[in-house]
Amino acid sequence: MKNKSKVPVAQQYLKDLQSAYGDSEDFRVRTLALKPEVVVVSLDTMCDDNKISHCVLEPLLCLAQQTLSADIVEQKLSFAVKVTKAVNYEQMTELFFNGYTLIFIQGESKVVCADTRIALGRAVMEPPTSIVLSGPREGFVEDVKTNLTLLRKRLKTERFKTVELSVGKYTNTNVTVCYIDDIVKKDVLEEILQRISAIDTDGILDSSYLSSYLESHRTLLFNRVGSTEKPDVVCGKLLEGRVAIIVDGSPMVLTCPYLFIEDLQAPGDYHQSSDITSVSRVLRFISVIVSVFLPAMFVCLEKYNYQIIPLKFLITVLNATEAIPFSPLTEMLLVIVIFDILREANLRMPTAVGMSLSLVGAIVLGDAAVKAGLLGAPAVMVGALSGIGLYTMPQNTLVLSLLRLIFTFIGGVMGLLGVIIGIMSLIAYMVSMQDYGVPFLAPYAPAIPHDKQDAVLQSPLARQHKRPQSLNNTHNATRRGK
Amino acid sequence: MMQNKVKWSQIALILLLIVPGGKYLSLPAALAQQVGKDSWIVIAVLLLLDAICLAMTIKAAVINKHNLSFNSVLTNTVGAVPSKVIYVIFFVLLQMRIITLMASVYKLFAATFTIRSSWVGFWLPISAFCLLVVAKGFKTIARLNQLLSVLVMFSLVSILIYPATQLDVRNLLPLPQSDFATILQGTFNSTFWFADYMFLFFVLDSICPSRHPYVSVMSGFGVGAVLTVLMNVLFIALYGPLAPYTDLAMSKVSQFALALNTNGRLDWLSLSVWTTSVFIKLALFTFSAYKCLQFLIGNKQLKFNYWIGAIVVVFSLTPLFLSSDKLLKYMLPYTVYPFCVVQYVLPLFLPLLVKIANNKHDKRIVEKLNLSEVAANE
Amino acid sequence: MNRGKKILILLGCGALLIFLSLSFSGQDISARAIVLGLGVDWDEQTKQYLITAEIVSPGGGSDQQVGTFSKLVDGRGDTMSHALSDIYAQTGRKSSLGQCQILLLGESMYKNTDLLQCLSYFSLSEAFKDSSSVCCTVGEANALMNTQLPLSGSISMTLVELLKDAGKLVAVPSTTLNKFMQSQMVLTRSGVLSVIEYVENKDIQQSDNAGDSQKPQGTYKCNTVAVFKDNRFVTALDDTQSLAYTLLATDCIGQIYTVKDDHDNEYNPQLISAVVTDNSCDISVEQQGDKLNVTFTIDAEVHSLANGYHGKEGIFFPKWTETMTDGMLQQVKDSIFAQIEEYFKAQQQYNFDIVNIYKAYEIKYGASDQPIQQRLPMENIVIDVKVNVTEN
Repeated sequence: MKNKSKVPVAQQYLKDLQSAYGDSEDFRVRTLALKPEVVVVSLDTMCDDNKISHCVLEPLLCLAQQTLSADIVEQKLSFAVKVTKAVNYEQMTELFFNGYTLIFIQGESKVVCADTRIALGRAVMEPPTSIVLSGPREGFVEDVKTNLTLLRKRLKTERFKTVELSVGKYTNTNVTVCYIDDIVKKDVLEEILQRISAIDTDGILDSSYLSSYLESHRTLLFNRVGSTEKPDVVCGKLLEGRVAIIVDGSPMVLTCPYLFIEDLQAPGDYHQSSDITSVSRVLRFISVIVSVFLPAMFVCLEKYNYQIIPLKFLITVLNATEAIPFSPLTEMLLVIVIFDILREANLRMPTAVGMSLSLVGAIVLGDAAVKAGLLGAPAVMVGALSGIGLYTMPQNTLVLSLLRLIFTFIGGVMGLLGVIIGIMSLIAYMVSMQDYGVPFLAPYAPAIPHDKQDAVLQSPLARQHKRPQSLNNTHNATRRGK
Repeated sequence: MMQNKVKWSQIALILLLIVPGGKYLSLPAALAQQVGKDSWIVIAVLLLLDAICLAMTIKAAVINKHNLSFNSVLTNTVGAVPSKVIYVIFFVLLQMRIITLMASVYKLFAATFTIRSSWVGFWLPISAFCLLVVAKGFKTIARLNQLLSVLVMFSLVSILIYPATQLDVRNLLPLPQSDFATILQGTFNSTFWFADYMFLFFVLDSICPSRHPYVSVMSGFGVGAVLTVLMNVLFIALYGPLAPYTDLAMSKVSQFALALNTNGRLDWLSLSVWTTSVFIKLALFTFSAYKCLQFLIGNKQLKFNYWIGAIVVVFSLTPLFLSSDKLLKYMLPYTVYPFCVVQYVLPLFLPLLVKIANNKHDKRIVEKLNLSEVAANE
Repeated sequence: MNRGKKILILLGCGALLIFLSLSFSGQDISARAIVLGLGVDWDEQTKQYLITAEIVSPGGGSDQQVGTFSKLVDGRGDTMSHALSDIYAQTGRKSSLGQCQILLLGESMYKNTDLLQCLSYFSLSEAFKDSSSVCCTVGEANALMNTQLPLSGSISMTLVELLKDAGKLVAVPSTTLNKFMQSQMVLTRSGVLSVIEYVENKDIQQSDNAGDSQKPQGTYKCNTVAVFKDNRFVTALDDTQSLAYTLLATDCIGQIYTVKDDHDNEYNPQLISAVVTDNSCDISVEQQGDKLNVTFTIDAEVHSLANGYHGKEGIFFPKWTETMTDGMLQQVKDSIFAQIEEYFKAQQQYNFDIVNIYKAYEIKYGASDQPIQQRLPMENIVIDVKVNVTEN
């Protein structure tokens, strides 16, 4: 947000603008010999030429016979485009750099700004991070207006409100806060708006920049703000009482407050039977637990508590690890680190060589290492199973990978004692996390029996009469029709 | 931190977990040495006493309409000096409970799980965990307990079921084996291990009102008590005359898991899950000891004080110099009397003390109002 | 946070990690000697224990033959822990008893020494499971563990499967360490251990495996028990007496009785085997003066042993004998009576109680400080046995 400073004098503004940006190649000035003289200024790179000619220049030229004023121009142009009057220099420049065409009328104190923003960006398509088998396949794009359209077409109600803010000294990024008026908790909304308004930074280039500002205090490891690329997911969250934040230039829309359990819930869960969804979610939950703790338990059992391993499996493990030169901890850490390196490299390598290098990685690092006796087959299998299982919780994959590494180290050094204490410390840390009055591990800690209808297990949608109580929707708790 | 409020249902779950927690380690064998096969009767009697004192403590919390803290109640009733004496007794009791429990867990990990370490190496992670939890507040303990309660109960029940086909009920007979005097003596000597509800004193002002606190809390306590007695019965039924010569009852009982031959000691996984309840109990005692020390030195900060926390956990390094067995042997004969006072006499009088404190608080409010009216008139 | 503080924190974390790594001691499984079974013998000349441990020996490859994953290692010592340390010295790997399923006591061991010295080591050990099987051997335990198995596999695992899993269904009694130790501490301090006898089969051809050809091949006889009193060997019961013991004091089934078929059918075989499919024994005591009347009531269900029918699990059998006649059931009853009579003769002779007579007495009439056999000598006990045999 910019401070109000200068007294509005339109011609002075024009001079200041020309002196500040006039030498820029995309700075376009058109002077129209009307009564009085009208100067039309635009940025070629941000404005749509067609809109300028059809929606600004043509209507202005139609007014050649009249004596023009800011009000008349505003009224005339408003039939075609959104028109606003800038009250100060800062607002005028903000609109200018957002693709508005500025119309300076000689003698007038206010500058008329017409929305001629160019629709630049990719088309609405299925987001690569959230692929579903059934359900809508639309995803957000980088343009805030398109994103709002995607939400608006699903929430056709006057209660769906938006608040536009501008954040970033150099980027003036448009940040739009969306909510449903009679569902959202007002103090949560106020707090979010306050936090965004208080941001003082050079620029916001992506919604992820905003995440750290939205958290009440710094926490290790876990995200406290949700993000998604799917409009149907955002609408679902808005209907539960959350607030959505759209950042111009980012396809990821943020939602607050955020619960840990949300990452277990896939978009496709709501487009299939609740029983199937429940089974899938339980499977995801188990796979996350296994992924994080299996390497630690494996190392711990090999080093301290072999008695837990069934005898025949123990003999197999002994056969496999007899000639391995590394200790179980070192071996498992190597497997995990190699897997993480492969994952990181895969994200960055060019598509053309991606497949071949992946094969090399798998064969050389997996198969050859085992045959050479550098790594044991059980350790590679455990590491691979654990690595794949992490992706059932896509938003927290890197966090879970780090946790996996930490717990493996703890298990190797301190055995079961370390693993137990580590798990309890982690859970204690997570249960103490709370943002906007909503506990991070709700509805399990604290137990909110009603909210468990759509946590890990899902009740049929027709039976979910009430909104989640963890979001404190006491004033509009029931999902009802008219 | 200390302003966090919890529900009575969470208190009930805490009691459900901590009543059996820790009592399955060294206590059954120690009791068997004193009273033989009637150890389960001693436990049942003590738990009955605990139930009565717990009911009185709940009553005290329910009638505490002004949400006065334990410190306020004591200073407004018995006075500052006697209340400090009470805190000292509590602090010593809690520290001894922490040390004894830690020593039992140390033995469990060293002897059963064969995870051997120095005492300091063992003490460090546990103390760090306890301090983390205390720093986050009582609400964190309650939520942590809530999350783990189902798993712990499941593990406990599975351990009880493991030896179902192998116990010999005749080992319990004849009933009772010892005479009444021996049982009574054993009961008195074992009071140190009970009265787990003590933590409620320190959270008197942190509990949300509820319609049916007695039902939920006494049910939770009751189930925990039944499981504790059952566990002891099982131990005696399995080991009979060998009971006094064993050490850790829980690890001995769990090894009778069904079809154990080549399936591995999967019962140890249940045991590991159960030990989380022991760590929660340790955290709870650390929290209570922290509060004691805070009241003792007159610290009224809401934020966690790292120095007080450090002092609290440093005491559990005592086994470096004096083993927990010797500590109990030398100190318990003298301290059992003051301990009994704070564990069993104080709760009986607590509702009265709370009522008096609340009445005094009412009077002070009225006086303040009168004074402000007078000042306004002037 | 300033730079100095960050460095201090990092150093502190590093020191903590190092300290914790050094504090906790563990051993990789490849550095352990994982013991599957132990045999204990007593060397009368040197007065030392000889322990034979069957240790898991990894094959090191998929071409390793099934069943050859273990090796036998011997150790000697004045005490059990000394002997186990000897194994450590020989193998360079510390013995880990967590997977040990069975403890075999050699003849020299249980006949010449007090078992308490040996068994208390295992009983007090947290590593050794109290639910492990303990049994005696005819001959040396070392010799038995060096024999060839009828079905290839680890000898310890095979014996455990026989004693624990199959034992209850084929009238093979077994005892755990815990039960035996308890029995030696209370009342008459009498208890039993199963006896395993190796019966060599000299007709079996040498196998192609060069390693196996050096081991004698045969079978294992496990259906008798040895009686111990106060941790000392008393006597070994024979087959008949052992069978009676299983009926009186265990829940074993599978006792087989051969009876003459009295169906009027020339196509039936002359002799039929009947197997006990269910068995329960109640004991009631009644004191009259200084005498104690003890009544054993055995309820046994039997069925004729047809093709593939063993124990309760058999479902299909060809109907070649319709029922057991009353006469045949009476024959079974008579056989049971005869066995029980043999058993009680031995009990009277050696003055032991392994069928819980004194326990029943104590339950009904209470405990006292006086030793039970002083309160009630064995000769004052009058035993009556009632046997009910029905067809399953």
